Amino acid sequence: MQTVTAVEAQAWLVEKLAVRLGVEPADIDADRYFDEFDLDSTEALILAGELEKWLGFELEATALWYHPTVAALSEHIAEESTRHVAAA
Amino acid sequence: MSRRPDPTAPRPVLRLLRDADGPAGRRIFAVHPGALAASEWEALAGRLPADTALYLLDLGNVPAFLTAALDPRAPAVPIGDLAARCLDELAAARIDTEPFTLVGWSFGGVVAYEIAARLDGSGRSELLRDLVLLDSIAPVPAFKRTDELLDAAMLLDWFVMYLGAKRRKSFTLGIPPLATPEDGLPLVLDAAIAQGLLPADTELAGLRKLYAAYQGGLSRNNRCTAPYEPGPLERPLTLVKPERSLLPAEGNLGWSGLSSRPVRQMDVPGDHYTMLRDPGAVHVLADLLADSAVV
Repeated sequence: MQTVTAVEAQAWLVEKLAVRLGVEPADIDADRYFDEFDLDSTEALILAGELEKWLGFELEATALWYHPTVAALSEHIAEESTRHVAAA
Repeated sequence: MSRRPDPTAPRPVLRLLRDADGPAGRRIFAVHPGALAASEWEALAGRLPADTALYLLDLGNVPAFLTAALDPRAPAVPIGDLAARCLDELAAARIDTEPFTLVGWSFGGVVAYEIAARLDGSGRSELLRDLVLLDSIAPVPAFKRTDELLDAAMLLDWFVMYLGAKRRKSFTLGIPPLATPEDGLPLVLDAAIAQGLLPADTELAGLRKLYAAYQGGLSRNNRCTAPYEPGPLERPLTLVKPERSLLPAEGNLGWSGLSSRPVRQMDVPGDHYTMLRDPGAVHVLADLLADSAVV
């Protein structure tokens, strides 16, 4: 397992959100709250599953509560990734 | 950065979904199980007589109940606690002094039953006009299932219904015999993409996450129901059963074991998750509730 940086995590999230929402990646505001995007709960869960597959580990159920923007979640993912790689 | 509501803030369990036009001639309290949005009740609300007030008791907004779905290690919430919380909400809002009808959807019907039992047991049975159960499975031994005993193909068929309801599209898929529900998820993914429910690039890992969340809710409901052993009530029960019920071949879903009176069963179109949207089902249900809830 390789460490995922915050920049890499943000790029992944921005691209996926842009495809789901049918907009350009440049139109995704990384500081906008997830629940302000036009994403329903089904789409959000599917995106979370795809994210965990890409990361190779599961995020805790409360991750989006405590890190509710692309930028904040990306920082959290980078920290978790470092922790998982260190523990592997 | 824009402001947003605090997602960890408590959300109301009781809310008025539809107010009466003038003094309420009918009061209906609906127990919502939380798997789908509370807005599912809006079509029914729009079809009720003008003098009807419809209140929602949303179990999905009871924090311990929500947590038990997210975390399988979290304790189950006793049915009695959920019923007591609902009764407390009604008392706090001072809307439990006039007669009303209770309607519970799916697992919400089990909680509605316990609310009725508590009213009957405390000498307040005259408050409850009617108890209506929407495709709820009775909490009796013959119908209780641990997760291990649930048939894999049946669980996946329920998930197909659920996914169709969530995406608001018709979704049909024949499920072959399976060892585990997860074994059939590739079939569901292919069909969901082919039938336009999910984008073509949806990954199996994404659908697995959605299924895990769905199964977590079902498992939570089974854990909450398992220790609940109610006795029968001395009151009639009405079961509204859709064409695609959770258990289409199982008659009145075990409710005859919980009433000393014959169970009134009304068959309606739709499935377990769309029965509050199907115009035919909503029509029958609105007429039923309008007749039963007259004060």
